[in-house]
Amino acid sequence: MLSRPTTDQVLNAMADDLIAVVLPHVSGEAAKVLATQIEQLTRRLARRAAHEIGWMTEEIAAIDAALDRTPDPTNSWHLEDVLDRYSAASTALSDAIAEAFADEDTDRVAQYKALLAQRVVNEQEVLGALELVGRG
Amino acid sequence: MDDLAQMPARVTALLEANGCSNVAVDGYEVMTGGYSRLMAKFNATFTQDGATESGTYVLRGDPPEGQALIDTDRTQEFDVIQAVAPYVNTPNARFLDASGEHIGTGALMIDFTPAESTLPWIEANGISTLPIKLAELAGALHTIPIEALPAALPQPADGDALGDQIAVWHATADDHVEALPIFKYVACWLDAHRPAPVPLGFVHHDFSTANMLVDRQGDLVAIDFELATIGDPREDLGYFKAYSQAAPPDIIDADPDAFLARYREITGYTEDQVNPAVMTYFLVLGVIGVVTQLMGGGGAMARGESGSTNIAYNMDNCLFGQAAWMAATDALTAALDGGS
Repeated sequence: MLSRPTTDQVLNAMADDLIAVVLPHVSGEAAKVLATQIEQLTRRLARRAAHEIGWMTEEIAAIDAALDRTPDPTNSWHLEDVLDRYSAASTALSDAIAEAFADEDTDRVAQYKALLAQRVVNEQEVLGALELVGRG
Repeated sequence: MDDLAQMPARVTALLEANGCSNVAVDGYEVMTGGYSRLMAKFNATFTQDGATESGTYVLRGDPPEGQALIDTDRTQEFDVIQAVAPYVNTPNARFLDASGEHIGTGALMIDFTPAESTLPWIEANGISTLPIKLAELAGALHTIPIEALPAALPQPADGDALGDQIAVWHATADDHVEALPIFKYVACWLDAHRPAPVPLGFVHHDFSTANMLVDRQGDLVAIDFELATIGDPREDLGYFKAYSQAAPPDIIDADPDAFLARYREITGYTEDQVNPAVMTYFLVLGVIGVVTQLMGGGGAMARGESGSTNIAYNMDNCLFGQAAWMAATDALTAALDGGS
């Protein structure tokens, strides 16, 4: 496959063209809002495409270490396979959080919250600066 | 509802089906700003019960199948608006097409209010008068007698409004298309840090500047009651603050003491029941009604049951929420119980 320009570079170029070339010719207010939402989403998808497999893999490893889980032996890097492993790790983390709160174990709660903090950092990088469009 | 050629005849059919005669409809135009529903504005003249009426009205209808951002019921919304209109500054609902047989989609016809969107009004006029106006609007909503509200309005089965909302947080964490450990953390945290209770009351559930207008008297007008329930009214204050973080300014922050004093005066709540820390608790708790709908829309899209830019865009915005909720739980842990 031709890997360069990368997915994020292509998506950002599409977002640029949508705003610079297409949007000036859009007349309806609803369509303008939609075009601006598409531009924002496209830029978020560019950031996500560039990092999501790496971020999920790093989070899975951190959760496995914190919960003393045996790492999944699957080594496929296709997105659906990574998503399956990520979902399983997230489910284990959710269960552990509920158990720590039920036990009033503040140390474990703090440990799991630190894992969530990294997830939030990654999510904020995907989101970028929030500028809501489409609401009054 | 976007077919400008057909819609005057469809609106006429709705009015005639409701016993109106001598109907004339013109000036039909699509409106923007109704992010979950289709909106249009038109002029109409009609005779009902021997009285002739002329005015401007708003049509608010469901988007096409599979494109709805959130799934709500027009009949319930119609009944809620008619129930709250005597108590609150809001344009009344006039006619309902529940099945869409006349309009082409489930829709209600509402009086048009000549008012301005809140954020542009603030840019032009400043924010100083609005904390008190907001307290009065919220107080009016939250003191509506429960017996005046539609019987079908959802309410906590055992009277535990906080428990019900926390259960929704848990259900959203557990039932989504993928595990949501941040939602699970927030659900558990909310349960461990409950504030002093208040009696059940009306909850708008999308109480934000996006659903308010400012009328010619400078009073706030509440609109969009599709998510209303009976529950803990403080959910609206928390939701208002959460929304204001994403779309500033925060009217409450312009004068929180004045807002809280006037709100307590109207509702009769004590300082233990409503204070800045409690509002921040509800900043987290109170968003779950809307967030569950947005996440549900994203889940349906992930399962291939629906799909639109709007669904993906708005679910993406829950990422902003996750950061805000975690920051709020951090800040409040010490304030509410001195640790843990």
